[in-house]
Amino acid sequence: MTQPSSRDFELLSAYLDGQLSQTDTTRLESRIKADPELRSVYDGLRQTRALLRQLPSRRAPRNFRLTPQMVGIKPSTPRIFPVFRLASVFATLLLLIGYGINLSASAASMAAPTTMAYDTYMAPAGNGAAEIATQPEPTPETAAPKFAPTAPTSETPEIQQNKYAAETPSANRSMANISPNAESQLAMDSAPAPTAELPVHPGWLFGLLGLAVFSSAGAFIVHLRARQSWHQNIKLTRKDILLITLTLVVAALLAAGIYWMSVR
Amino acid sequence: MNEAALILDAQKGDLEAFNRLVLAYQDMLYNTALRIIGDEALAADATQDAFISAYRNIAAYRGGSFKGWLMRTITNACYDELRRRKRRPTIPLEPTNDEDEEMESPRWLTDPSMSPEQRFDADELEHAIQHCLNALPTDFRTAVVLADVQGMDYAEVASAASVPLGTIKSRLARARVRLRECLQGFRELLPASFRLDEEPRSNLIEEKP
Repeated sequence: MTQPSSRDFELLSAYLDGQLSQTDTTRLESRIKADPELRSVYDGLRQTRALLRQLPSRRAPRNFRLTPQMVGIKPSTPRIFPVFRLASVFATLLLLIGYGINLSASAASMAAPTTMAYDTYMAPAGNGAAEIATQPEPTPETAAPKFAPTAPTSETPEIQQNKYAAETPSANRSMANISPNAESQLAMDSAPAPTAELPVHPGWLFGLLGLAVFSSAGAFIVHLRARQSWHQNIKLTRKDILLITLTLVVAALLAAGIYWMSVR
Repeated sequence: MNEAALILDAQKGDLEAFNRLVLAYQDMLYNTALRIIGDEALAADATQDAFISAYRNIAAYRGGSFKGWLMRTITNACYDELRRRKRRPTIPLEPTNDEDEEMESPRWLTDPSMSPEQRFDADELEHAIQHCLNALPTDFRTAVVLADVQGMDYAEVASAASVPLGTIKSRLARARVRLRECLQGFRELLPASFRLDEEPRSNLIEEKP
């Protein structure tokens, strides 16, 4: 009986797992038979392995599913998302440019009406107004900027109407109801006005505004749905609500601005 | 959907596909971590870290045993966790006191055929084994957990622990010898068939391993 060496422990351990070659197995088995000490070590190793194997397997204490935040990725959005985003950016840019052009045109025309109104106030009432409304070319060219040559035309007749109305006996009535005569004049003046007076047709601006609102709403909904599909919190955040409100307010202000410019 | 298809989808960035793999393997990874680290909370942290690391590196997986690949990931996560614990030794190395009489019955052991006494003994035995595992050097413990607790073969253990096969053989032998000595101290807990110092009733040599 000899004290087993560390080499013997290794052999016994490998033998336990069936990892020895046939020759080594035969040799070790005959040694174990002859040596009770080796047999005792072998039994001890075998029983230890059996104890480890019967250790209870525990369930995971929680779910280890990964969330997009854990791995630092953002939910993928459908291909339509960049289209919406690009469309809203372009529509907004074009809208602001067009709005700016119209704004500067109407700002320039603000100066013109004072002189025009004065001129027409001095002119004979009814006939003069109609005359200028139908043939506006001679006067405005001096006051209006070149890119908006027709801008003052609608201003002038309207102010004329006011002045004219103020001097008639029915001054306290509203402009539309002054008289059949004045009404027909007003209709004649204001009907072509929105298209003629502004460099960019308000219809285009409304169209761009609509496109900007539609495409940003589309982008927002697509993004929200993508978040939904990733099992994220789908409730609108405070930031979302603030953004939507801000967008709607800006859109409403722009729409009011466009409308105001077109009817003035 | 089979595993290979899920892996392929996960490699393309499909997190849902990867999460189905997580569900399939989370118990195995958590158990491995629990036996190597010996602490439930830290084992859970290591498991989560391992899955995050696996997702980020799944492109590097090039076929072979996915289980083996995951086992290497969890082994690395356990080593990282143990290193962190060494730097911040706020948690005692022996989180459970073996003399503690107020040990709670774990919820996973709900075998109705066991009497409360038997269940208590099983808990005690499990604690005794974990205590002896914790007393081993980390490398030995990893080898014995992968081979004997998880039932992996030598080649798989060598791959998971990123060491040569010969090293695993010697670590495993030394770990088993040390465990055997340690468990002698808990012989009153061991089932009669496992009493280490008893003479075998039959000639065990004749049983093929």
